[in-house]
Amino acid sequence: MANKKLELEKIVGAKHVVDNPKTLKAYSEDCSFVASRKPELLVKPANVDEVQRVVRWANETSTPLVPLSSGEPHFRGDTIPAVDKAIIVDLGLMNRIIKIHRRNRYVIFEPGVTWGQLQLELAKEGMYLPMPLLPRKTKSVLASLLEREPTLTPHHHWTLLDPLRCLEIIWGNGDKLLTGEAGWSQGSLEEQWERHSDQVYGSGPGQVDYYRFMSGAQGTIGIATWGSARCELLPKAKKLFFTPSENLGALLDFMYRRFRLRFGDELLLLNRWNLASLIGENANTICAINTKLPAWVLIHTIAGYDRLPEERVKFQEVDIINLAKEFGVQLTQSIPGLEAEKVEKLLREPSKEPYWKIKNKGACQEIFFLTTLDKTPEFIKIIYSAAENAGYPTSEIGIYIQPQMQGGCCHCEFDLFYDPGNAGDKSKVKELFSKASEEIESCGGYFSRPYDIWKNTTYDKDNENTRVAQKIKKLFDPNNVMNPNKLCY
Amino acid sequence: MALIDYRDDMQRCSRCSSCKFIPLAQIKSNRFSSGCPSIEWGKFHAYSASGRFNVAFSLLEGLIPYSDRLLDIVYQCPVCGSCDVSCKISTQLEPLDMALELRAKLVEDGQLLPQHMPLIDTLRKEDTLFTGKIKNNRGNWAEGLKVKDLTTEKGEVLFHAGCRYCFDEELWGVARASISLLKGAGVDVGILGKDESCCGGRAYEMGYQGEFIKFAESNIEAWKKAGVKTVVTGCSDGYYAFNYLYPAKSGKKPNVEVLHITQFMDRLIRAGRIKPVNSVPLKVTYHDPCHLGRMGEPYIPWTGKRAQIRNIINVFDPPKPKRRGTNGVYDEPRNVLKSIPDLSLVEMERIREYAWCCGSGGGVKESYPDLALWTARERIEEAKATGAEAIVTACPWCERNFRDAIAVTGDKLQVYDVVELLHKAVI
Amino acid sequence: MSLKKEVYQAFEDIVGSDYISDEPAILNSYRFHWLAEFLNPERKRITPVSAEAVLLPATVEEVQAIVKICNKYGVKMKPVGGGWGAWNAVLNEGAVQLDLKRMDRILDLDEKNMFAVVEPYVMGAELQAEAMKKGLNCHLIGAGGVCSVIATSACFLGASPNGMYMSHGPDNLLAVEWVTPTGEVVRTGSRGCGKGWFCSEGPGPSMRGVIRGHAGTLGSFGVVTKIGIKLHPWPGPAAYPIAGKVPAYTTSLPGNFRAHTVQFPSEQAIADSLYKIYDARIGYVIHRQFNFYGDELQGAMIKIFSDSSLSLDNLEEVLADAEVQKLTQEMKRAYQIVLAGNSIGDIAWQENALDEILAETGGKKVAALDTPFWEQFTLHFLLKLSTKNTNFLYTGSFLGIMGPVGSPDSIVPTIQPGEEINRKYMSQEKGRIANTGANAFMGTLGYLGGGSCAYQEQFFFHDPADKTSVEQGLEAVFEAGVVVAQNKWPPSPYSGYFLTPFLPRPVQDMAYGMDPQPQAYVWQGQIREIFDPNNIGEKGYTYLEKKK
Repeated sequence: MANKKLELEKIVGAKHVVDNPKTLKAYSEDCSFVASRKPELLVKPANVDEVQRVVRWANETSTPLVPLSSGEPHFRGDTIPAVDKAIIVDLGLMNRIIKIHRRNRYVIFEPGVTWGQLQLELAKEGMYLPMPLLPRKTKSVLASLLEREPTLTPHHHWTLLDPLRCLEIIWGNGDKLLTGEAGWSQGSLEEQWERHSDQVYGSGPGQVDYYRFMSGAQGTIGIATWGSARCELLPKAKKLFFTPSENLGALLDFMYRRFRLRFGDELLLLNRWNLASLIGENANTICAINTKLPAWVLIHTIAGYDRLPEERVKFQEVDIINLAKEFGVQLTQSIPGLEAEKVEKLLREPSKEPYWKIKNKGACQEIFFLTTLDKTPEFIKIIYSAAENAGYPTSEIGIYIQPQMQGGCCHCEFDLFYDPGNAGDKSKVKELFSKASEEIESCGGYFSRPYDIWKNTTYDKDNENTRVAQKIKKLFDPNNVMNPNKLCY
Repeated sequence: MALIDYRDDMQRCSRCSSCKFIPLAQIKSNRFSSGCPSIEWGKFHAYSASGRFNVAFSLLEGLIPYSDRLLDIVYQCPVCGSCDVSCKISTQLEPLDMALELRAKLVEDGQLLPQHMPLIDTLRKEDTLFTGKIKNNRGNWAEGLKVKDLTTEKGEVLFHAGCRYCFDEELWGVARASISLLKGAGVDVGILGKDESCCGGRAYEMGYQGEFIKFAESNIEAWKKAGVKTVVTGCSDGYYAFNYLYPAKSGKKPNVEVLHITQFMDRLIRAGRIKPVNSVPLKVTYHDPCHLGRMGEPYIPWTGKRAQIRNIINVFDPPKPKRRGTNGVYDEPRNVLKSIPDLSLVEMERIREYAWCCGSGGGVKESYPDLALWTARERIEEAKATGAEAIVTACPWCERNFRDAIAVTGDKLQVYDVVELLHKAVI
Repeated sequence: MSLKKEVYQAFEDIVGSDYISDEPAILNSYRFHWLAEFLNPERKRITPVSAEAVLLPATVEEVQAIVKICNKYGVKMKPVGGGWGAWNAVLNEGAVQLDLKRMDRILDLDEKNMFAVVEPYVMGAELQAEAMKKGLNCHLIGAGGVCSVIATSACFLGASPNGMYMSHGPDNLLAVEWVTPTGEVVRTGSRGCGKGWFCSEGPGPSMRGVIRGHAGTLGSFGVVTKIGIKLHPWPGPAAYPIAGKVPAYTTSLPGNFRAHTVQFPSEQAIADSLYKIYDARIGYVIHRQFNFYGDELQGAMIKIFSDSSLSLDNLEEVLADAEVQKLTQEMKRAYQIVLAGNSIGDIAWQENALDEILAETGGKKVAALDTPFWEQFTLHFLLKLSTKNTNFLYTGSFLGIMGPVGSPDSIVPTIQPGEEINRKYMSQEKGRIANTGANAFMGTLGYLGGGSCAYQEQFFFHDPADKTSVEQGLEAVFEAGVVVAQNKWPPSPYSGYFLTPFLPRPVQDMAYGMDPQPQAYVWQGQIREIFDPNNIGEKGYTYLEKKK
């Protein structure tokens, strides 16, 4: 190991190679139920050259690497080594915003850039990047996009990879590739910009969609050293609406019709517990707010941007009101315990500390999968039934339904909050997580992001796709140095 | 134009496959999107209009020999003109004319479809393609009608029954109803009876252009002798032959007005000479016969040549009138149906210039009966999808093929000619 | 060379004797394709080689079995759907053609979740008609409604005039069923796990990336037998109204649809307007369409298209009309935009936004085309794309030479050089390319959903029945290629993606070797070797031989 440390120090500098046991322990576990495993070392490259040299070195020495770019706390087990003697490659030092291009509305940024950092800079240009639901402060934007985390703005979401576009990739074999327009245009980025070549088209180059191999890969194929993403305009006029209901079914038809209008930006559905968890400062206030809220709240917005913003909001409001009447649902800007303005602000920023999912009880186990909106009530029945069997209070399950791809599918998430210091609670949630996941999978829930135990059932069900993935892995990471054993290889 | 004259155009087909479908803008469903019975039946690309361009070019270039398959490709097609309409939405190619010239070339080269032999033989002997029938019996359908004999008398209007009405006893009622309606409206109508000959149109479509010309000349002469001003027929194939093929392809223009019976009926109804008064409570859908609809456009004479303008843009000089189905006979049959009390008309998805063929044209009924019946069954399905109780047409070939198809399937859909229903409403 | 008897028999045992043929008349009909004239040394529109047999499978099981036989006996194969373009043809000796005509069903249309599941021979026009019944619409590739939905989204490029609203073909691709070159059936995304067709990605890294990238594999890499395809809102009538007489069909859509031809003082002003349109989030279709017929002829051509009593033969006389001449001038440097609103308020807002954008960029609506008649004509043309084979009307063929997929600003510098090449080949000096006016740029101005990217290419028209014309066309292509390479512009789709994979191997190696990342093509070659070890894929897959 001493050799490895020295060799890595030659690449990244002594300051950026860490073997401190306390530090390493922090990387050996996270808030998930994935078994902890200590990495051997931690390295922090500062630029793409160093990343490439680290990866090449890993190939020469057959050393497993686990890349990550977000700070703690981690939740999904993807950054815990699955084999011994792994080295964590923390990309947190690579935190430059390389370019913001207002005219063609894109941004290029390194993996260490966080949501707060990026949105602040984009706001200066009147833009924002579609964001997940209150990501934690330390969350890497690039990691979020690569993980296909759902964003709040389904109307801007053309594919599940949106708004991610181009990537600079160091493959597991140490080779470099620029994808999409960045890859088929000649010269450096600066030279491309001279010719007005923008990095907004992500596919290719050629007949292979390389950036898709990196998406959802949990660091098992390569390391992205920068990404580009398509930005949206900050509204100049906006109204946020709540459509509350005691009955989820009553909202679905309205939502389906609402998708077709493609008005506004945010559109998401929360149950009272999750909404209270977002709003409340702590366990007490969460409980208090929870009692006031309706069972379900659809949060949706209409907006006007740079051009005729007020006029745009005006006609959209007329149309939305008519739509609500047609479907017999309510449209309001305040509900007991909640004001639109407050929620609007909340949704635009990352979570305050402590991260909203842990501020109530200290820990949270997520179950999330893809389905279509019409099937969500079935899955809610499943989780409630499983919770009852496990003795977990159904009233404290947080539910978040996020339509994606303009309503074509949705991210369905159940958040199981628990006290990590209470062994009984922890064990109950672990079992509930396992049983409910199994049931959900067998009833049609698609675990497209196969973290933790989900990888087992998912890949078992899909042998041919698994074989294809294994072949691609072998091509780009022939020595299997990238986060081995994390997925199906 | 001979086949060789289309050689360059054969290469200008881009294989867009529009010929396989009805005009794209008119597609209303996945089920009823196709326009070409030949490609739907034959499946291989060669069975489409584009495929026949390819086959013809290959033949001219000596790339392929004659073969049974080649004959099938050429003749398993009712020459319904659907491909022609679809192609000409956007191009100036002539798929239908080329296909007919291809047939003529096969005949010229002695590559004869065996199934055609008995038909042509009968045509030469008995002035009809109906094997087993004799000329002497041609007028039997009119027995007892007391209609003028134009071989001995003169008249204003000649009713040409056509081979199908003459020799298909089950359909005599339609021809008889036509005479009854015309006489009832005070029209000075006569027939040629047993001296009537085939129009020759089917022979033309089968590639026997020489035979066709003989019949064209003979019929035109007979009309001249009869002194008629108008020739009316209930057969759409006959209408197409008289209205278009005679002036365009025989070199002889008949000096008469040519009308289909539905056009005549429409005129008479509007003039108040036929009054549909009886209730005919029936929900019907109308099938546009190819030879009356998209192929029923009048012939416009033209002489000119191919030219290239702006370097290489291919045109005709002077501008050549285009047969694109624009001015076919679509409205008159519908007008007649709409005039019938309590009859309700619903339209199928594929109508007018983009109607699906009945399947019996071009020699297919005789030579490839399975294809003909399948094509008709497709149309029956489409008719049933409208909820109609009956399919109504204006051509005995369509009517026969629909009846035959229903006899096989046992469907309850009724089959009528427009004239039959009008007759019910009048007398 | 013909197939060995046992091989033919093996294929026949799969599809049945009715659905296989090695007869010359059948085989030859698969050799005629647009652009075959460029691949044939004699410059005739017929490919240099013939397939050994044509097969018509009906199910994915039959396709799978066929592919396995191909592997067993080392027989190459090329699937074909709609089949419009020489990339569909068999171009290797000893290969078989899989005609997917019998696989023509729409298997599902999920109205709520806005997707359909289709087989290879479902055409865009068919899917669109079915979707509209449910208040939905589908992306249509630029070549129009007579193209296979699978081909346009999974196998080709996928540029769509309605890209602004629906994005391009591959962005509409959901789960895919793919018979690999070795005969395994891979179902990507949600379908692979048996969860339906609604999701294209995952699980984990998305192996859909193997099936296509920026460009599809043009039928050279297995067979795509089913896809889930996204559908989009259609705020129009369930039964699309057709008006007019054949061939001059038009429509009569209600007032929440508007269509304009908007003209600008310069190409840069066009680009400026596009960014503003992207920001304003308006535009159901944004396409530079009519200019395709040449900037000197477009006014006359739309007049001819809209009048069933006229044809191309009347071109000169129509051009002589003073009104048409005025219109032609007004249409130079213009594109077409269709707005579709969900309500009266919506469409009114969009119109106001467009008016503002025009004022800011020096653009204006072409007044002569802002009448109800011309609006409906334009709406029909661009929404239905049912007459895109008018591309072939002039001469029977055409090709693009220059114009990348890229930001509007990046396209501007390519326009004048493209015009210069066109001008040269339209001049007396060459004279076998149609003289339509030097600017015949066409393309979708909202390539990706929400904008950001456009695609315009300069087109020319050659006659496939005229050898000199074809030769001049090829010269123009290569000349443009040199200009593109010198300026470091990305290759144009038509010449770059559609022609290059079929040129001789040394030319391909040179072209891909000049790419900024030749290694990407080496990896493509390696992917090909992994998934097609027996090399049964026909031409069309782009790669460099492995070398570092």
